[in-house]
Amino acid sequence: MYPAFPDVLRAIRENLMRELMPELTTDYAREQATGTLLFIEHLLSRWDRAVETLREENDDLRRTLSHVDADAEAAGAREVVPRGETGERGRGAAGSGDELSAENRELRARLAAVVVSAPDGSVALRLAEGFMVRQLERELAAVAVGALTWE
Amino acid sequence: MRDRLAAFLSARIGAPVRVLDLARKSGGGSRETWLFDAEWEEDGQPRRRMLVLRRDPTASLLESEHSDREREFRLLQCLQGRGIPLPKVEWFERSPEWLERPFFIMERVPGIPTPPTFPSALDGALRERAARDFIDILACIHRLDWRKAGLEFLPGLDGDAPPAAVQLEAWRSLYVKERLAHEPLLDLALRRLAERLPDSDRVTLVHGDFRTGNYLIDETGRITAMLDWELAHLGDPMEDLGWACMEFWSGGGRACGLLEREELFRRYTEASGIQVDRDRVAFYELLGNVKMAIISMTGMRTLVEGRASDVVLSFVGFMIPRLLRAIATQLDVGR
Repeated sequence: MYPAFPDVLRAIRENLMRELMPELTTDYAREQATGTLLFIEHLLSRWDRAVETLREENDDLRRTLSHVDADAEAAGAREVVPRGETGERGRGAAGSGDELSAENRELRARLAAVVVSAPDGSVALRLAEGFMVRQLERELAAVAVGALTWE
Repeated sequence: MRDRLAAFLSARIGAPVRVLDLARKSGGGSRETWLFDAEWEEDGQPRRRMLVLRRDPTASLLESEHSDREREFRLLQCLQGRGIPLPKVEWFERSPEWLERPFFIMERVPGIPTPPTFPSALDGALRERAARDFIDILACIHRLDWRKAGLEFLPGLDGDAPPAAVQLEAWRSLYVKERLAHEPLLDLALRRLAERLPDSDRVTLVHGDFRTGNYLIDETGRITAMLDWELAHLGDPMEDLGWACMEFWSGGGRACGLLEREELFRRYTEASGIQVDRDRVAFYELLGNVKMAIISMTGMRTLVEGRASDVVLSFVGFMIPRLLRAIATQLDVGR
């Protein structure tokens, strides 16, 4: 038996709220602690979906890049999407959060290469924009969790 | 901190100084802000001054030549007595000998800060008063004869290149340097901006962060001081308008929560005599969203790399999707 991830987060939150915050004596310290509390609430709401969300993004990136390649090949153009460091495409084998993040950086760099070089009105640019729209929806949903606002 | 600050002030004033009520304030992701009173004797009489210390943080939202402390200090000195409400700056110190990091000290102006959008709950008359001052101050900045004011040291001009090109290149370079990963929407925005570079019919002083949240108001809504001049440069006056019009600061359909965009343009032209070019404003509004996203990325990077711990830097990461949404709208992505 060991405490699960959300249990630890809840324990930290309770400790911060009940033990530490009442002892804080300056406005600055209280404001910082309140900010930290908001982040703990956010993590509690989102932690269990974080890895899956990243995996979903990477899958989408791979699909998008493979459609860009297919379009380029059909048009007889030379490859428009540079291969990553590994030279692999459609790998999709990354498992841990760190591996997924590394793969994400590589896939994003490859899509960026399409964005900066594809001609206006091209299928490749339209495919890249399609990914941007879907990704933006994912990111807006992720940050909408919890009570974090700019004001 | 208190003792070291007192030692610095004593050395500068030439008399033993006591530092009282020293308190750090939250906000301002690019530097630390401390309020305090200084007390000493002068000609046998007690003197007390309310002051503000602004010190470089260990790491910040903006870590680049974009935010040079000494340049900001010098600018504030040059702008004294030119009709812009400002705090009087007193001392700048680059040496780590006193407070470990560069800092400057300025007078504390009466007034309270506002959030980045003027609060809609506040009285309409208060908002109208703030809006009037907001426009007058912006007009004053853009009408200023920057050569006569000795502001040639400010960045922003590069030979015959349009000011927009200088700004775009500066922020593009920062994006390349600071990104944790490519953000395809930013790559697309930078491409579109490069394709749409406008020229400018004049060069003026540009505040660079002219918006609600960067001024103090009194109980009547009057703006008592315009703050945060670290991004000031020479350039296109439409840049400040584009920044102020960003959806990010808007509230209740009003730019910066103060007044509607067309009303802002009309009253700005009345106050400044400068015609508003809506295409250029749109360019700088898009660049503004890109710039704010890059600033947020810089903040995230300092946090991810363990160089900073201010909780404000964590908040900025949550801003990025909102900025990207505004960019997508401006670029018609997904329509």
